[in-house]
Amino acid sequence: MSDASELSKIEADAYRSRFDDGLLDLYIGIALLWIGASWMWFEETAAILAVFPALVVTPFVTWRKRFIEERTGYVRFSEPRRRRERRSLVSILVIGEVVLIVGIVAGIVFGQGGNVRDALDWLGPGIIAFIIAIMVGMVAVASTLPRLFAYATLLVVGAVAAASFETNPGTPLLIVGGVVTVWGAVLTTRFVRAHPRVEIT
Amino acid sequence: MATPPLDRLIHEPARLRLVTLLYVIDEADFVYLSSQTGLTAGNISSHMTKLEDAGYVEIEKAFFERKPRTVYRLTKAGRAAIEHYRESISEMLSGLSERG
Repeated sequence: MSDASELSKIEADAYRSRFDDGLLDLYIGIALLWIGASWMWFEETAAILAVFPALVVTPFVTWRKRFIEERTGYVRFSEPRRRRERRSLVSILVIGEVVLIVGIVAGIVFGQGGNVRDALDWLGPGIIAFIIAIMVGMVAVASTLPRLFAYATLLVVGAVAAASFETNPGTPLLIVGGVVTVWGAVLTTRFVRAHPRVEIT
Repeated sequence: MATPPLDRLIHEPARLRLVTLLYVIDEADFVYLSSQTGLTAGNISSHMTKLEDAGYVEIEKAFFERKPRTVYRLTKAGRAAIEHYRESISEMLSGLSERG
C-alpha cells in the first residue's frame, strides 16, 4: 500500500474481477456464432444481420450490471476509469459502424449490384474474422482481461486459416464462437455457484 | 531518525484492506466490500462505524429498486489520512533499508 503501483494493481484487480461472471465471454461467443452463421447460411443479408449483436449491447450491459450487482454488490469506479471505459465503448461502436458501412459500400461497388460474396472475394475470406479480432482486441485492452487477448489471437489465426484455405468467412467465426461460448458458460456457471443472490446490501 | 507516527485506525489489517479498496474505487456497497475482502457482515459493520466516527468514511443508506443499499465512500479527511499513512509507512520502510 506504500507504493503507487500497488494501489494501481489493487484497482486493476478489482476492475478485472467485475468480469469474472463470464457474461461478456458469452456475449462475444454468441455474437461470433450469430455472425458466423449469417455468413455461412444467409450470405446475402449477412452484413445486415451482423448489426444485431451491436443492437443488443445496451440492454445486455444494463441486464449484466443488475445480474452481477445482485451477486457481488454495487461499486462505482473512479472517474478516470469510467472515462476510459466510455471512450473504449464509443470507439468499438464507431469501428463497428464504420466496418458495416464499408462492408455495404464494398458490396455495392465491387460486387456489381450488391453481391457481398464478390466483394469478399476481393477482400479475402479472412477479413471478417480479422476485423472482429481487432474489435475484441480493443475490448481486451479496455477490460485488461488476458482471456480476451486470447480470443482475439484465435480470431487472427482463424482469419489467416480462412484466407489460406479459402473457406467460407463464417467458418472461423463459428469455430472460435463455439470455443468462447463454451468457456463463457463454464465461467458463468462457476460465478453463479460461488456468488448466490444477496438480498440485503 | 524519528519513526513517523502511524494512524492506528488505518493500520489495523482489516480496516487497511477496506480503506485501501475504497481509496482506489469511488464508492461501493456492503456486499461488494464483503466479496472483495472476504470480511463478514459484522466485521465490516464494526470497522465502518469506527471509520465513520473518525470522519474517514461517509455512509449513505438508500433504497435501490425497493431494496436497502448501504453505500460507503471515503471523505476528504479519509483520503488525506490514507495519503499520510502511505507517506509514513514509506518513510519507515526506507529507513529500514538504509539501516539494512
